[in-house]
Amino acid sequence: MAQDRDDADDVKLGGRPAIDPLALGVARSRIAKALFEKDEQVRVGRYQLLQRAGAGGMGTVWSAWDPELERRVAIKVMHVRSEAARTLLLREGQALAKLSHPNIVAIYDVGTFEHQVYLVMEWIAGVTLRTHAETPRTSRELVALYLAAGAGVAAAHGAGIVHRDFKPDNVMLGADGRVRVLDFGLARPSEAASGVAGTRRYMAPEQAAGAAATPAADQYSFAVSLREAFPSRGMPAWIASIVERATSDDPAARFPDMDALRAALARDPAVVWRRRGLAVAAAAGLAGAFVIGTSQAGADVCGVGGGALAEVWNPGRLGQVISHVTTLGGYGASSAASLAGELDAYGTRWTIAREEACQARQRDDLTEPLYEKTLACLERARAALDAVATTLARTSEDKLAEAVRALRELPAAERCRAEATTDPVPPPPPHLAARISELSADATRARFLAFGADPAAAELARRTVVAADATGYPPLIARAQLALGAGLEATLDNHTAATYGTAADAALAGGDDVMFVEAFARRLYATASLGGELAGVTAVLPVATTIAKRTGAAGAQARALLFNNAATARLAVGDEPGAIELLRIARRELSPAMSSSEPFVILGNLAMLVSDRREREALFAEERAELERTLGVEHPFTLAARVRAALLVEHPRRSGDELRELCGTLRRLHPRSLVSVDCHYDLGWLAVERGDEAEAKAAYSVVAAHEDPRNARAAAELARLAGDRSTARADAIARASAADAEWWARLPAADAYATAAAIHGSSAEGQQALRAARAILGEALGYRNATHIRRRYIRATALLALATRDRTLAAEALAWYRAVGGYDVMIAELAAI
Amino acid sequence: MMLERWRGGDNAAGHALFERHFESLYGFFATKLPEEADDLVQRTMLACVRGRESFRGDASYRTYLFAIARNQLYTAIAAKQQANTRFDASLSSIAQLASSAGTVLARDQEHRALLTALQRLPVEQQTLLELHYWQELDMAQIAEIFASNAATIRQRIHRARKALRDLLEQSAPPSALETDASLDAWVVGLGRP
Repeated sequence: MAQDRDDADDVKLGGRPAIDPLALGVARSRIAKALFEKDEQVRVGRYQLLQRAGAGGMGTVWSAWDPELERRVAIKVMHVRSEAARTLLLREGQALAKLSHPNIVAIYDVGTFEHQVYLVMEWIAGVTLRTHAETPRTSRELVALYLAAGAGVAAAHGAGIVHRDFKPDNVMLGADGRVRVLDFGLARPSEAASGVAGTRRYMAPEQAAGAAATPAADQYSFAVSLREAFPSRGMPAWIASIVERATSDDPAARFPDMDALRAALARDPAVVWRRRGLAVAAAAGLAGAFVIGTSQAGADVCGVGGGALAEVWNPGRLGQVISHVTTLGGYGASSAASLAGELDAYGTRWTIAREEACQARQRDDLTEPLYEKTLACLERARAALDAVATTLARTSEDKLAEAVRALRELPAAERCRAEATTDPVPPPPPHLAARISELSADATRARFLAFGADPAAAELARRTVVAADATGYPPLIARAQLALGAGLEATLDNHTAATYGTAADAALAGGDDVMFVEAFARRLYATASLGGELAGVTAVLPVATTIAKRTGAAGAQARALLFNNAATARLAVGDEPGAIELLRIARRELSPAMSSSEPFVILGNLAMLVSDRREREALFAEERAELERTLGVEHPFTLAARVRAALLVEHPRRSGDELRELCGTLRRLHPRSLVSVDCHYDLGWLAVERGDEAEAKAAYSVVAAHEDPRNARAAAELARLAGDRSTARADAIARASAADAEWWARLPAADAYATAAAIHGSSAEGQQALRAARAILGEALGYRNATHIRRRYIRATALLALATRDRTLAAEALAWYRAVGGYDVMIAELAAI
Repeated sequence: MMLERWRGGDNAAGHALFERHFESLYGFFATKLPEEADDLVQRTMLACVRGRESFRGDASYRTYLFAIARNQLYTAIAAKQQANTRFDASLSSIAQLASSAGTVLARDQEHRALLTALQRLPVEQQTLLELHYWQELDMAQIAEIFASNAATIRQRIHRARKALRDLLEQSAPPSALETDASLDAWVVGLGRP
């Protein structure tokens, strides 16, 4: 072995690297894309690799997307060392592609890629027979599965193709219930030569000795696999005798061919089963499809969760998501395939969790009530997946951000079992359990439609609330009301807070403390943001806090939300120190294990309120890192958080540089978003301040082209930059917005006065405009001491000082400019007064 | 300095730095948490660019990079732990934490035996040995990564090597187990995973 290695595996000589180069390539491009927004998708031929699905001695299997036929495929990429081996593999692949049988995986295409040969196959969602047999199965089921697999092998033999490596890992049981044999016939020099133990176990003695593989050798491997599927003493005698004959050392003593073996395997049970009146499609037909799960209750409880998954997630859905999202602008085009891949990975994890729960139940590791609870949780997870897939397949460009966030919020299916064990909520009455599980899945579906801003959310939630009320089971009522609240909140409906209130009451009555805390927290925020009787809600806050504290680790996220929303309520009544204190408490609940992005807004909220520059920047950096982790670098919410952070950077060049980069990204990925307007509006403002007319024009043109309250002011500023000396437009805007009641709605007026002042210069009219701007901004600073407002206020002050030669005003502006740096020219002019 | 340029916003410098270190960094994580290797490489690179330390040259950059990588690894492992147990890198091994670690890597029987043995060591020992054998870092650099001193690290590597040898008793060729030097030669010869 050591000698083999010396010539074959010398890494320095570019020998066989252990990490598959394609896997490295996909990882490299994915990470480079995330870090540097370099988009280089890895393709093999025309197929776009999505995810690595497995690896074997022969190569690596990938799930991939065929953009031409718009379907999901599996690609097996095989490394070959010589021209001869490549030719051989290609020829075999072409022969396989001609084989068409329901129990043989379909080969769509064969080709070469760099020095490798690839086979494109139908994508099968399901499990291998090895995995399937890890749970004890009835003999009837095992025989039926192997009869179907044997039909595939027999058909191949009929076409002159020998499998050469039949084993349970090479047979898939699809979610559709169909058995398919994989990995036919391909030359396997390495395994044959080195005799890898795992495969040798199934190998006929003459094949292991180096003789060419024959159909009789396949028969031997088939029989060994069948024997293994049974527990050591569980094989019925009549099957044992068939296996014994098929595994004779002398090939001539085995069955004449696979069909003879299959006939023997089908004979005895057919009599017994027919007497019991059970129809077994595969045994009766000896070929073709075979469906699991149609038999009586009791058998096959674990009959592959994949079938259940296929109802909500299947290749058709995957295709819809990719082709729809691709049309949704720059962000959609760049993320469609990876979003579909994520959904797909979620589906796989769900199927595994479902299968594991069932197996745990069969081993008696899980009591019946806990199993029911786990299943109900998995049903909710599946409904959530359904909602997200539905949303992604029909969302609009402006709602894609929400749909993607909903995807990232999907509940961890693998945690259902653990949660069922620790969840203190009492189970529903048995006669209602099924109905309640169904309705709570509907509530979850509505909730995720609402997360994804899908318009169907509120209607489904409303229907679920009515049905939930009829059951009288409070935890379900709470869940349904919470979903309705989310649906209403998405449309800023003023019943939102009351609905969350109903949810909170029901959760409390049902003993679901975590849900109570969440519902109460959302009620608080809805009341503070949409208007309502805040005092009444905050009076209950101490009680809610007490309950929140006793929910332990499971309640961390709900607690974080509660404290954050309590902080917003403090802010709504102007108590900034109180808000800061609550946000600091909320921050302590955050953990890097949280997969939801929502709690991390706490960091940004706190950053906007703290006065220390270093703390603020550290908080923003942390928020950015967490949003990039939970939502991705290209997500508009992540970019919006960065724009907010950039607006608060005091140094004008640093602020401008960051905004310039962000605006570029936003133009590329989210050209029609509100964030893009925010970014360009202030980029333009900073450019004017600096005297960079070209950048100011470019930035304000972007704003002027949007449907946004700021577009008129941007247009007025653009006209000024183009040499228009009339102040009529700016004056009109200033008059219109200065009359507004809210301080933030008057901010555009201040900018409009700045435009007017720039036209008038240091004349009396100019000074008057500056005073008006300064008054608005000074008042705004009383509400919100933010850098971008301060910067405007100081500029109005400085220009007024220069126009009037007023030293007090000059001193005020100088103090700020000197503290933040980057204003040398302005400082020199002011100092000269 | 590439890192400084990247920190200053030069993404091309960042990309070059990433390309240069990607494979070794990916290999470092792939032997431990293969499912999360992508994510961990990304976090490590981001942590580098957000860090504040400055560096004299590429050699010390590699040390810095692996110090961050080690932190990220430990954090990720700790997050996988059950709620009630605490992750201790000197006690818990990858084999205890994950059932399918490393299956994507093994290129043959002999290599698989080595990886399996490494994954059965406590994570700290596994990390020490891999940095020593495959990342071409010297004792002083590894000491820096572990915030320790070279003498202690030499001793810990010695102990880790002994533990590895015990685990390999059954599966490595006898010639590899004769001396420390023959074991070293065998492990290094099998190449980086």
